[in-house]
Amino acid sequence: MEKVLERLESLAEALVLMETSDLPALANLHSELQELLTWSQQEGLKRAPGALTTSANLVEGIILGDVADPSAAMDFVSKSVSAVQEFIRDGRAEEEIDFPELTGQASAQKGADQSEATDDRADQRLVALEDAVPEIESLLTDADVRLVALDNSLSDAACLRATYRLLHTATGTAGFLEMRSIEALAKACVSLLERAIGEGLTLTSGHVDLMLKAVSCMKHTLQHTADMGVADGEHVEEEHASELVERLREATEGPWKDPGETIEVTSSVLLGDILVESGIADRQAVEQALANQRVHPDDVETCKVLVRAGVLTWPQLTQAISVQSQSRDGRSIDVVLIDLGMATREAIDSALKETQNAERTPLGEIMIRKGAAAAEDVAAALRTQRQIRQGVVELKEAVKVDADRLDRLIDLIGELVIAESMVCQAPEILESAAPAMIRQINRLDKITRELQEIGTSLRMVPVKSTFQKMARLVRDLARKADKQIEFRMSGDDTELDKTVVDKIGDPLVHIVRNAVDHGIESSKEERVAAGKHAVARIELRAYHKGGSIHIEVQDDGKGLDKERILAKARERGIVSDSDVLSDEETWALIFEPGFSTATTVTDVSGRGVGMDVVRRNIESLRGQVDIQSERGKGATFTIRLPLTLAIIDGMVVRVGAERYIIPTLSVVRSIRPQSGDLLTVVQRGVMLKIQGELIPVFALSELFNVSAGSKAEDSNLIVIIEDEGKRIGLVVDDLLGKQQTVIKSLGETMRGLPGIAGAAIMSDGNVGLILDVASLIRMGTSAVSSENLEHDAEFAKPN
Amino acid sequence: MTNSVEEGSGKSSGASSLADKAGQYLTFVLGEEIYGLEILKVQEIIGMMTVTRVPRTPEYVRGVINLRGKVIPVIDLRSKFNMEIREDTSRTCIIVVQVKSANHQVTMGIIVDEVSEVLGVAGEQIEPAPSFGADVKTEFILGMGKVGSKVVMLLDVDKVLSWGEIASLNQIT
Repeated sequence: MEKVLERLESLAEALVLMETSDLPALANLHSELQELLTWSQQEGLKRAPGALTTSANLVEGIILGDVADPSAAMDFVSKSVSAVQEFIRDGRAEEEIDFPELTGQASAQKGADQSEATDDRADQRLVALEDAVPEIESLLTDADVRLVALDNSLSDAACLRATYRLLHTATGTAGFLEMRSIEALAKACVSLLERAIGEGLTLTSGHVDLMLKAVSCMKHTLQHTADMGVADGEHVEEEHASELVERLREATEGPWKDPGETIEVTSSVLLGDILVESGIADRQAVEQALANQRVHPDDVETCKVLVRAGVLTWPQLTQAISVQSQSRDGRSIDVVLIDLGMATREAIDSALKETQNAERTPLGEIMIRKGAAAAEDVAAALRTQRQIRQGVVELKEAVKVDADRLDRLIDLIGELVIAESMVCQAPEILESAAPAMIRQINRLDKITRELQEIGTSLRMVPVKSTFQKMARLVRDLARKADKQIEFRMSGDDTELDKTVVDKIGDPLVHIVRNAVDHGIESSKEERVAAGKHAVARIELRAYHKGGSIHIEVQDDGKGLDKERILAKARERGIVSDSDVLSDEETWALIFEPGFSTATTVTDVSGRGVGMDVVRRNIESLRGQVDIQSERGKGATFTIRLPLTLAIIDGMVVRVGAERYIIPTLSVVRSIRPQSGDLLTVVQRGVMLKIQGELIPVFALSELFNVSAGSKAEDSNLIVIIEDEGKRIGLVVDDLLGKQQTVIKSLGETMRGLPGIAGAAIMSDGNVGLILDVASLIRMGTSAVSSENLEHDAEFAKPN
Repeated sequence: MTNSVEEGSGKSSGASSLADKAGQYLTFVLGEEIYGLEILKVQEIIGMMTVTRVPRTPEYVRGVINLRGKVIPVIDLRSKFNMEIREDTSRTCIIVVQVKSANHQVTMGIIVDEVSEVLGVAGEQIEPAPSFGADVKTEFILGMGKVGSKVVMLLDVDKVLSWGEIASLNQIT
């Protein structure tokens, strides 16, 4: 192949420089062409041999002086050569390549029979073209109009079928005339529509847009074909056409959600105005179309309307019609009627208006038919119009606000809420308050709550943009890995705190990559053998559940390989050989730094960086990530995130004189242990026996060196907390209840304190500390005891 | 402001001329001694309020307070200067200062026995900080202001509250 291509290149170069009088070169060319012909026949090509034979004959003809127009003949030869070049170089199907057509001038006068035959065919085609072009054109215009209508009601079966019929006919006609790119485009549209009719593919505006683009591409190609003849006209739009065919094919085969384009527009509701404002059509064209839209009062039907409306009598009408036909000055009937004094312009107009609404052609259609605007633009304008009518595009004024100021505002709202509740709960006020005062207090309370709601919603944005990025990612990765994957998403309008949405992108990318790379089987065969659908599926979901947001990435691939993960973990010394791990604990291993079970490292994943970052990022958002997986069925990664970063649902506990907040998300339960539930281990650690499970117990007072707190061994109240499947019990003195608190960071100075995630402003206005459950569990279960830490602290103290 | 920021940018006290340090100082009392803070660093003075202890921080970190919705750390200056710990009195207050740390401003509070007055200190009234050998750290003293009969120790607040110490503590734990 390479060799052939090389020879072709040099041949093409030689052709450019070749003189038709240079006989040795021509002879050389002839032998080259013969060789090429032999090669193409061996390869079993269908169309190349014909062109090459003709080329060889033409060269022979030039050498023998039999050719009337040598340069036209040479032109044919070089076109043939470049067509074969295209075929080899771009690996395109032969059908899509335009082999040159022999024109009369290029043919040899004493040439081979076959070339004359070709000639005749070409002539016939030219004749057919003249008739066919307008025919196809009107088909396409009708298709445009239908598609625009279809966009309005995407599942209208009658409209679907009508569009299908039109394009089907266009396919046939173009095929007959060998207009390959038009045929291919129309065919692609037809298969998409077929799926929409037969297999219940739900069309979207995006699909319609794509088909409109295809139709307009066909129209352009047709225009060029009419101007330049088939061979050249097809070339102009070729690249564009093949790209569109590809996209249509994708849309037909796979899931594909691409919202149709709409136009940014200020506030118009009338289609004409939208078209003008968005620069699609000028005012004049719209006015003209509008004039056409009026039912022309020169047809008898209209006049009947006038009679029925009581504007005219029959005799008057017949008189007017006869006057019109006799005068032959091109006056339309309405003008005649007015001139004769039978009716006024207003009367005619108002009578017509009533009927117009019932039977006028839509403006968009007129614009398309007159060619005043491209169909896809009209469709987009109509979409905008519909949205405006539905009020989806509410023209909201957006003000950009500095994020710091916004945060400050939210802080202050939080403060206001606290201050307000302290005032309202103050016993002095409650005891002595007059009814009027109580009413005012209630009002204040209500306003404050509303303010709080607005405050928290200020930072909320939908996850849509992030989800759409994932859709693209899956498409790209699937193509790279040569896997067929259908991507679905739901709940992309779920709102999250802006900071969360900004930060959730990275972890999601890693998880999605993982699903594509490790989750989905590497070949269709493997899937089919496992009894699954050949096309894999990855689903991305977001939903609210119990005060937090869940984002799930689900694939239907192989699932996680427990043995391999364990083997890898043992190899890395993360777990010892004797450890028996539950499924959950095993899955959690993949979040360990430097862990990867991929045998080959790709640029997609498998470098072992990533999943640990995923966990870190999600934890920094106070979220959690869980994995469910079933061998051969697939895996689901679930990210749980707090609704907003500004507020935390917490359980307030007391230890000595201190208060701490434990995020409710991590609290399993709290119990008062009976005697016998607690076991001491090696005189040091304390374990709690609960439901057959042993949980290590630590006293917060000891972990945090709080004086006067209960110790682990004489605990009477234990809060069991959990993180990544690990549980520990925390000994506290008292539960002070649940509370939603506004979260604050402890600032730069206190970053990374063990066991502390942040601070919260409590209802009395003081600061309470929020516990970092993950780090507490690490603190408790790591070898470092609190005494050691104590020692370190002493050691590190400056002075 | 630029002047004072320059001051705190880590030049040794001998290198910059003493006259540069002239300006307004907020003076406060700690035990028997009088200290001064550059007025430009001071944001506000608030009365003593409930301070929440933060576990595993050095002793001189009293904890954190809620300053109108912002959580700021509070330093006990007595403890920082290794003086004896005393019960808070009605005069104890928190001076909220803006400290330059590494590359950004940090707001924090320092607990002092009593705030006295704002004092203008002229260049010629400032003497270089004494040196008592390695035992007594004086690098956070810009100089000694002699105003009338008072001797005011002018503090370089950025150095007093260098947070590297706390950060390093965290890393060890």
